[in-house]
Amino acid sequence: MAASVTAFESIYREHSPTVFGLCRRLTRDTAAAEDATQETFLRAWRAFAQFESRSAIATWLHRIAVNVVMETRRRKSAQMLTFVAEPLPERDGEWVLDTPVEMAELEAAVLALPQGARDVLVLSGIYEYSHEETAAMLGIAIGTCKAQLHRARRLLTDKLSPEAAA
Amino acid sequence: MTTEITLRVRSLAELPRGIEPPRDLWPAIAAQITGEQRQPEAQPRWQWALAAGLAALMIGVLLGRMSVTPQAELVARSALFDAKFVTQRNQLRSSVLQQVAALPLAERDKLLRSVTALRRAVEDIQSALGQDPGNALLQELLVNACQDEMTNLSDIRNSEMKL
Repeated sequence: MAASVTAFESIYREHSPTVFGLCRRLTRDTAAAEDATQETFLRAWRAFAQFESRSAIATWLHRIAVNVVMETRRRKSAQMLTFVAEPLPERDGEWVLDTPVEMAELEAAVLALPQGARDVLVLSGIYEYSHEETAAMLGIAIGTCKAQLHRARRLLTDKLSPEAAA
Repeated sequence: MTTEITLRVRSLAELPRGIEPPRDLWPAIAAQITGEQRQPEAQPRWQWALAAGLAALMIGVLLGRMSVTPQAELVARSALFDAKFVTQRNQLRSSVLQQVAALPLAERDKLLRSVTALRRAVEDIQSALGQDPGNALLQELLVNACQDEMTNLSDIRNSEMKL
């Protein structure tokens, strides 16, 4: 597939908000999200010839973006990520609050989550990737992914509906 | 008078997926893309220089094998340490090492092990040739090891450029 800069710019224009949104939520830092977005599109340009049109371009860009963010994290911190095993949820339905909250309040609560839980929640809750896709993107086991999602939802509920947690 | 509308939501799926970046990132991306597009023009010349270095190396070895007179040995040895070839190899090696440094730990270790193993092989053969300069087998081994090292470095460099 021959990629022209003009055609690639239209891809950037269409997809940069979701890529930036994803990076912003994963990094919690605007400047870092800008860097990650830029790097995502540079890698996408370099690998454009290998892009398989059967997979959605948004998914492909999101995978690159998650890789970029994860690599940056690994470079910045050599600390090993530890995960405390938690019981898996019995059901996996959609997480819905009993009482609506302001959009900004929900966004802030998501950003305040611990890193591992936030990563999973952003990918599966906001971008609606399956457990399998989310786990593959983050390089974690599907069981870990489910447990982190359960943990994230519980923390969100505690934060946004204190009466429900009580 | 303006009224601010506050959107209230009950689920994550109601949050907007896209957030507009605070500034347009395209000019910086386009500048890098355009810069990278110019680079391939220079690559064939670089590859030709490497090929020429390897050819000089092989001619030197052939001369060394045809005769074991001190003069022929000198030609062979000077070709084995052809300055241009060594410079090209060192440049490629340092460029690859820089690329590899940015990789995740496991991948980096794996690549560094292969780069180091091939470098040691070349050095070991060079050291043996220092003691037995007329040894045709060692000369052939050295050419093969140098070729393997260059191929390995070029492969890493090219694969890293893709993603």
